[in-house]
Amino acid sequence: LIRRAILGAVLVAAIGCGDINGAQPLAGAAHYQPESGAWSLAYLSPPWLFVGGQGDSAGFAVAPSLLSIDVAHATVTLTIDRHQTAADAAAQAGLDAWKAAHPSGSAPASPTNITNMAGQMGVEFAAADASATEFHREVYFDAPAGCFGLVFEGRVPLDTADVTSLVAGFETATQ
Amino acid sequence: MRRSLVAALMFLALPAAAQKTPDDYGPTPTPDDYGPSPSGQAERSARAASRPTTDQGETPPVVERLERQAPILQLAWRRFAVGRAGDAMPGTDSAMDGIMFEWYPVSSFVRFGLATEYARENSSRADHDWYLAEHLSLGLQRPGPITPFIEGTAGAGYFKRFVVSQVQPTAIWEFGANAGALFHFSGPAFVSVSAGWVHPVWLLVSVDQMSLTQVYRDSFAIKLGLGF
Repeated sequence: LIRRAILGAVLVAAIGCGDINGAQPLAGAAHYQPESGAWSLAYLSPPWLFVGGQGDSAGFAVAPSLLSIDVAHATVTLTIDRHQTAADAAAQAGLDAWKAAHPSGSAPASPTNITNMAGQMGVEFAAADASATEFHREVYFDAPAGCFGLVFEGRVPLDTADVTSLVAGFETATQ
Repeated sequence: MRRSLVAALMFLALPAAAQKTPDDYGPTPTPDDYGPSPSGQAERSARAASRPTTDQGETPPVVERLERQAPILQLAWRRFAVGRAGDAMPGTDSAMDGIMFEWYPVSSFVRFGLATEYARENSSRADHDWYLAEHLSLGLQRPGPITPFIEGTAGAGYFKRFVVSQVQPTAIWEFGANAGALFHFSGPAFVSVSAGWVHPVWLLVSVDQMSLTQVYRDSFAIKLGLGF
């Protein structure tokens, strides 16, 4: 029995001790960067799937299930776009627009700050509709020209650590 | 006077007549019907008298029966951090509480154990990760009222993770080592305390990059158990 146990332990050891240290931030995450190099995103795939990109814009989604690529019925979608205004102004404009479209929804009075893994300061807000079945989150980071906005739409709460981790993996180019 | 004498004789004779066992009570009991005589006490006294004595004339204690002081079954709780792949702060909210049912088919100076563990994430997240794993352990111990031990472990199982509310089935295997002691408090019953190191490894499947990635983590682990 002991011999079998040792053999089993050796077989298990042969599987591997790991490639990436999970104690490091964003360990095991995939990376996407548009051709311009204006920004980059570290994302865990799955659940995040790259849907498509054009110029400095890109789309990502969390499919309804692990075995699905039906992004049309995604649990969460993320759209990244360039904006011509500063991050503060873009976040405030986004919050005002959302409140106008969802007068009975719940949203903060004003955007708050958030920091990514590169130490860049962003501005964000999270909101939910009156029935708390549709959730919304917008995050903006300043760029050398204007800012980049990350707009999340989802059927699950978006002010969670999982989504915040994705935001932390977003970084704008400084040049 | 004569009447008084007759009455006194009758008074003395009546109790004897009343204490006589009637015939329908069966045979008169013999000493054997009351079980063996306390001869064991006499034998123990004789053995004690024949024992060697110390220089001070004291009789050294003799252990009548050896109690088993090595584990056979144990129910244990342990806590460690398994981490969270892809997280910006992988150390936050990644503590796992595991319940382990352990069986030691070999348990003398060498101990070999099998353990089934269910562990669940201890965090404030809405969805809690959990895993189910089977472990093997091999170690050394010194049986006694306090049984110190050291052992190495290896295990594998199924890890169910939740990321953005989506289930992420993940393979997990784990190595570890720990040391501690069993404290016997009533015969073979004991409580155990141990601490050590665990090295869980996850197998991540990257859909976008079509690759397999092994993510590992090193963590301190503490375990408390109750068994016999």
